Amino acid sequence: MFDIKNVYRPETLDETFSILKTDVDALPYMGGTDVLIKIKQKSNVSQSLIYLGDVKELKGIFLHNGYISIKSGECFFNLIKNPIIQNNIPILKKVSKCVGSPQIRNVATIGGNICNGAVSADSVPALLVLKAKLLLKNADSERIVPIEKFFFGPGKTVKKREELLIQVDIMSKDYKGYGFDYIKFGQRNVMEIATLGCAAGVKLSNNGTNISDIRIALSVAAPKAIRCYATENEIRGLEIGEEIFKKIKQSILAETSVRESFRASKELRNQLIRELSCRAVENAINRARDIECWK
Amino acid sequence: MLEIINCNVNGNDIDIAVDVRESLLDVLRNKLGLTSVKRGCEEGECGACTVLVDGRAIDSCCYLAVCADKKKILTVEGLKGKNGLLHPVQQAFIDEAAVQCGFCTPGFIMSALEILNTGEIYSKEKIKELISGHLCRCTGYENIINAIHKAIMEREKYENC
Repeated sequence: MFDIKNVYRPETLDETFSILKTDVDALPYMGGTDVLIKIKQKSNVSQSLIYLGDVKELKGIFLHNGYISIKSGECFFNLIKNPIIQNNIPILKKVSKCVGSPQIRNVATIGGNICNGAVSADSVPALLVLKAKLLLKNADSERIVPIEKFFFGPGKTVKKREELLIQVDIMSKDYKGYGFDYIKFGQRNVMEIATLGCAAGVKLSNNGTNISDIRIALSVAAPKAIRCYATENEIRGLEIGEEIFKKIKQSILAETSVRESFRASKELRNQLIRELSCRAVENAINRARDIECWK
Repeated sequence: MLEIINCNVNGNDIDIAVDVRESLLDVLRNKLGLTSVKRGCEEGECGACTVLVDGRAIDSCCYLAVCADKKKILTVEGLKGKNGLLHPVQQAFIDEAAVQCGFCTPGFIMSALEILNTGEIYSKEKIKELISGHLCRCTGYENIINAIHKAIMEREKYENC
């Protein structure tokens, strides 16, 4: 049995907010594949849970004029199967397939993956290179937080207790014309927590010879998932060639601070950062070229 | 604290009082006697407790029973073929000798059923990916993959029952 006081099952957001106001111990959850396991391992003290699975306002993936909205309660299985994701931001499909196992992906949600705040969260590096905007709401107000400002440490996010993550918005100017890639390194293919994750996004200049924009994001390379702004600035505008990869290898370690853990040593992680960021950028360049060809 | 939930288990509508602290696994095994649902790692790694909730395979060990309210749950006990014979997926597991100690088998069968229900044809390589949420400590994966592949290839049989 789980060490839980009570389980609320609201059906609307309004109901959820009023529960959050009255019960200060209540923790909202959706799939439970992180929350329930933490409770089982006794790292969460006895508390109440709010099951959000019946809240319809948290479901759906929409293509609006100028942006894509993914509601926080969409499970990874739905992300993989969704044509809007497949046609516009296939990197999110690739990332979703890296999460847990099929049974986990049937319940685990993108909102949970973000709010759990794990440094190894699979969806976060991809959302960083997509410059995702997170819509947070409480009973009276709402605010939009860019994903790079959402985390400030392992398991720590700027989301306040009485707030809920409602949706993830991705602007079309941030994905149209870009090629993306995500590489996850682990000891096995499934049911694996990333030893290191690297996402890259590249946009080529009009004649396809230079890099007009680049974004690189890493997970497990620092106490939170990071964008490597300094390295990006070094490469932006350069002609495609060996020089780019040399520069990445030279400067990227200055932006990371890896830790030693039972999963990997510092040396291995540093080696992975240098190598995977180059590979991800190379794949992203190739994808960007494919997009150019379609034009 | 007890709560009464209403759900459909293996085709029967039931009202049952569950403790909010109980997992779906606890309720299915201890209250409903559906012991095909195995208690394995209890943290969503091994897949021995897999059941279908509204047609989707989930790990019942990390799913609260109260959340199954108004949902349709299927376990191996709810499977049957024509004239009360074995379901074609079960038969395929026997034909291909895909059962060794048998502990992981009910979970594998439920995932196989979800795979079959998609209506698509999968290669053995793809089946490997789709059953990646299950562990077989006897390591009898080859025969399990063969059995699921066979069930997919003989789908017409299954669709007629």
